[in-house]
Amino acid sequence: MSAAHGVPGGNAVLSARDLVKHYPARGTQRQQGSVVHAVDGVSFDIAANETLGLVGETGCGKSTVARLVTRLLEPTSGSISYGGQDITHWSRRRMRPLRREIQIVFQDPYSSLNPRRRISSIVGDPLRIHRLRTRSERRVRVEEVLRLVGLDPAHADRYPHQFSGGQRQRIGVARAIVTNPRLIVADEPVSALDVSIQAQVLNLIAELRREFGLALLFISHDVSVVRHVSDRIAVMYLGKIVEVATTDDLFSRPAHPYTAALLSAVPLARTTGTPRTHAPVIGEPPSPLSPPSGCRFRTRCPYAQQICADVEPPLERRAGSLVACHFPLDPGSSS
Amino acid sequence: MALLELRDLEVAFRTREGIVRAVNDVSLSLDRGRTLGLVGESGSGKTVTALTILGLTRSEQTEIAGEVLLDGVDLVTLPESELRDLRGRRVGMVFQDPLSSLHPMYRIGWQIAEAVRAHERVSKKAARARAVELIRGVGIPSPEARVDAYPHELSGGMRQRVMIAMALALDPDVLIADEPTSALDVTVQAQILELLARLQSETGMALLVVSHDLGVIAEHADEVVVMYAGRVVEQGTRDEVIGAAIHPYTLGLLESIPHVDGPRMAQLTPIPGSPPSAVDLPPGCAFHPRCTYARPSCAELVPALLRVGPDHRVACPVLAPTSPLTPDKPRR
Repeated sequence: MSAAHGVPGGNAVLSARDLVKHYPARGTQRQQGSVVHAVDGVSFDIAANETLGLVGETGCGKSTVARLVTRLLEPTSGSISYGGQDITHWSRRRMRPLRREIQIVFQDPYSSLNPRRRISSIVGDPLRIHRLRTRSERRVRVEEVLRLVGLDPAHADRYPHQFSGGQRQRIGVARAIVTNPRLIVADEPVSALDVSIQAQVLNLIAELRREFGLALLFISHDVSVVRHVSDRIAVMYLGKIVEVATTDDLFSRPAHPYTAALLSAVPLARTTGTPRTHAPVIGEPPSPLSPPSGCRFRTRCPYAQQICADVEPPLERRAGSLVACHFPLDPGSSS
Repeated sequence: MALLELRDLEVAFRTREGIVRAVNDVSLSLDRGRTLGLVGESGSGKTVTALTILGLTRSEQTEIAGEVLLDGVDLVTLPESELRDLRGRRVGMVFQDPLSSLHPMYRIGWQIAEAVRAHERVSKKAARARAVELIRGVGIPSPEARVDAYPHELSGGMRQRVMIAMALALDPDVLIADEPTSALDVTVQAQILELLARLQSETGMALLVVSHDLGVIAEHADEVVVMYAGRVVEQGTRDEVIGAAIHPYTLGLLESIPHVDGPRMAQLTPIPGSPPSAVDLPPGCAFHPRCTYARPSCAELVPALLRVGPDHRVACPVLAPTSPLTPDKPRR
């Protein structure tokens, strides 16, 4: 089973199996018993020292996946294993020692830092909570990680508002690495930043990963950012993973029509190169309240046939990648 | 004469923290059927420039200098009543967030018809029929039914189509689109940008696209203006600015973005530091503290735009080729 999801040898740091998260719908639809199918059977593995990119558009469920695997949300069904142990139903108390090994970096560097606390205590919090080191040792460690993320340790007693957006995201990263975690889940860590600042934070994340052998789940809507940081990429659409492949394979030979559409829709910041065929994809994603039968992409897919409405395509191995499609694209015919 | 021309536009806001010089010496021109991309990061002054064209930054606390010429008529000095007549009719505008630009309590057809009736004496029935046609024109399926939808019943992409329909209701000569696709997913973004291009080829309108996304600008603009800290640092045709950038800031932007194709880079080349605060701009070239090519003189003088190609102008005396080195004249 685990081999099917990409990590050779089964030495995954994190494994998600058939994760499902349904929410009751809001408003009038709640009475009708409608549910939002936020995540609908998602499985993947991440090995030590590996970055798995999770890419998809608004509402595809990628942030819900981040919250499920970090146990910030209870899954409706499915399981999460960390270092070979099934942690799906661990109590908060039992989870606590694990929290220092699993850290999360959030999208918004403004709302994820308490404005009334100094940087030193924000970054030192995980150490304090886990009762790691003495007070003076903690201070030393905080200054060390601040230096590591490219901030001046002399600024440790400043407040978040005294930093720019990019610097705040560095603070968020510093807080995540202060306990030497084995796994970091980064949920859109650069989406709120200006492009000139994005590159700084992306480089920082890449450096830390190389240096500490972290497993990283990197979530973004931005295909080019995900490509830059990931070893493997999982593409999500409407609560499901439609394709998993190594980064180079995914970009050179996308097999799922949605992946191909996503890649070709990204505008390129240059004037030369081969003219690209534009995305044949039509319309917008359907509501997760009532996902289409069969393949969820079929309503927008140029290749859809009757079988796509009748039978849901399983995520199957195909030439080194995993694809959930009845009519996967031929290698070489696209991109 | 260009359809729309900005000459030495300056916009300053008096705030409690001091005077914010949001836009300084911005000159650009836009012809019928052409698309101009105004690109820059948060706080670069790109949106203030766009809003000022329609007089939307006017207030007691704002000082506006320079000229905004529409067919030779200066909009900066135009009385508010005449400007109001112009908005929508001659110059349409589409904003970033369609949800906050549409009234949540009115049906979209009513809102489009309202835009028509604000400028033309037409019956309600005729205005509604016009709304249906406009909704059809922006590619919304079953327009006869959708005309009675409320904004919350539409997806983000459909709402942005409604905004475009409304902006085009009076067949304006110029459409200003401020981050028209930044709130949308890429697959929907591609559809909206294609729609704008199609409508432009049908109507011959001029399009001013404001965006932080170099990719959007590179694929859709004929001419490009790059702004940093309230000033134009580089402008010219798309091929000149995106294809043969000279200014260290433009180069920095192009190098710092990861690409979806081509070889994967081990490292991105970021621009060091962060953009300056608008109330406390560095002296001289505002980019010099972040610039790897900076010389001591860069901190002293605000660099003029130097002409380096037929339409290409660069505000960098260090990297601009020494000949032909001509001081800039506002573009005709």
